Amino acid sequence: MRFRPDFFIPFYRAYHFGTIKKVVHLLLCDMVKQERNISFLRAVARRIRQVREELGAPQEKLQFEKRIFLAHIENDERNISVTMLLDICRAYGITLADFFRGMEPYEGALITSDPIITEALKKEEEDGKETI
Amino acid sequence: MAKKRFDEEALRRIVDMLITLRELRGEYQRDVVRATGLNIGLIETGRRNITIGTLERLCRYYGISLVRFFEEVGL
Repeated sequence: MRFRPDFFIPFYRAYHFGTIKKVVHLLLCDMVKQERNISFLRAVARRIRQVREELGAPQEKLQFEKRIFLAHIENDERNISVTMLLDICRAYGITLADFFRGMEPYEGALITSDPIITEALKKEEEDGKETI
Repeated sequence: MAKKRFDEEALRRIVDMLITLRELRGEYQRDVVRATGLNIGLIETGRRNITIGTLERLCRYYGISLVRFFEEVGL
């Protein structure tokens, strides 16, 4: 058995987890500079709202089925994961390409792809078809 | 261990696309890390769920638009 005196409280039980996170963030934010493209996240948040209003589905549907809180994402402009965005798009029945196609322009956006990359991708597709 | 709720197969496809893009440019992981400062080794193993901010930065570095990227992936 492990030795556990009564006065010993693990630090994660004694303090609210949010406070620990804030303190750690304050300590680290000088060392690790978080580079986030805020205009991109804002554009994503607006696009999610736009899609929701176009299709007329309520926020609560996703909230109950997938436990995704759209209100947080839309208002806080959160940096959500790709799979979460995929879940949102699937719930509304659109593809991710459609999602990003209708998005408003943001800072540092690439409108046209690099020609070298697009040509290389086409070549690769053709090669794949030949082998099959 | 908490059960993973995200779609692992979709993430696998996205990660495979990122690897092919890097190989098409003829670069090593080292070059990408130096340019973007992202831990590309951890991303390309597919064990970490990437955020849209990370994906946007990678796509901008590889010179491909997000629309084109997801058309290639097919999601």
